[in-house]
Amino acid sequence: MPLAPLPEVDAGRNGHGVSMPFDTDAQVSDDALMVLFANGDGQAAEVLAWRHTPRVLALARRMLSDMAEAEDVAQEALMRLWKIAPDWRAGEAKVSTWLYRVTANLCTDRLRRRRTTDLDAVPEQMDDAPSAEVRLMTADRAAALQGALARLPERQRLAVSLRFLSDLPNPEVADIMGVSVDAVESLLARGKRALATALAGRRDELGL
Amino acid sequence: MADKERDLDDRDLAALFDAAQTDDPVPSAALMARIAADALGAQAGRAVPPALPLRDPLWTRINRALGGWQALGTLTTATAVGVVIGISGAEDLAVYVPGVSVEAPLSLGAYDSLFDETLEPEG
Repeated sequence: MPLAPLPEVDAGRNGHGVSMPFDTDAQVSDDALMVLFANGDGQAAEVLAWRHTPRVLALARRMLSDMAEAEDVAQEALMRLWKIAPDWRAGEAKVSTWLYRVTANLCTDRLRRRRTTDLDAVPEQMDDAPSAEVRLMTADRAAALQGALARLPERQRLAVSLRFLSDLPNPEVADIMGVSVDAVESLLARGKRALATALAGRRDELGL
Repeated sequence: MADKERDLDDRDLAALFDAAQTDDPVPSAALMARIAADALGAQAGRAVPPALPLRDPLWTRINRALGGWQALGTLTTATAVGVVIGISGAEDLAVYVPGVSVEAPLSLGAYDSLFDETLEPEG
């Protein structure tokens, strides 16, 4: 099944990276791409990588508050996808769900290691940096939310990130986290309440 | 004042979530290149071995450079044989070359006779 070449795209929207190409192969399912990849099709890897790396990277950064670590996690998650491709069973799990689960586990491992290392090695929270006046309100809000997220207990942070930032339905969040939907709802309620309280004092600053 | 102390409501949080989604990171070209290299390595059936960081023990890096434990074993054996030969002296080797004495000066004639015997047709 030949795949059309990926088109050239505009510069990254935030100016420090490349933007995701238009996914012209959206009609090709992830399962089909996994089979193609396992059979040696190099472009299948390219399409899979562009389709999934942004969401994996975003989740890792929300969990770790560190871009370099998030990139390492994203690379490792995709590496595991390449390795499992020959044994992938179509229809058993969605590639995206599988990748989110792997990413969450990799982040958990890193967070555990952080707790056993020198506190000096822990990256500073993103909202600790002073906001320059020229920064857009959107960036301020994103940074404030990231800072508050980083202070949530790990399970609440993961549930909130998957549900409200990755826009996944509760059952899929439950599947990724390996818990019941009721447990996810509880984590979400506590997480939102903690965020609302933590950011209440910054209402004016954030234009809310 | 009371409004400032009030917790954010769902609409406020939704605005923050929207802002965070807009600010999501875009994968860098370098990251995508690393991922593509991994994919190629996996497809070739040979995962690209990660470079050993310098903090690894010196012995680990030497072992890897020499080709692993098997190569190291061969190298050690060859070295030991060389040492034994050096200690025992070259005289012992004469038994493997009949007709040649290490006490007499080496002459090509001695070797010629060896080759003559080797090349002499049978019968």
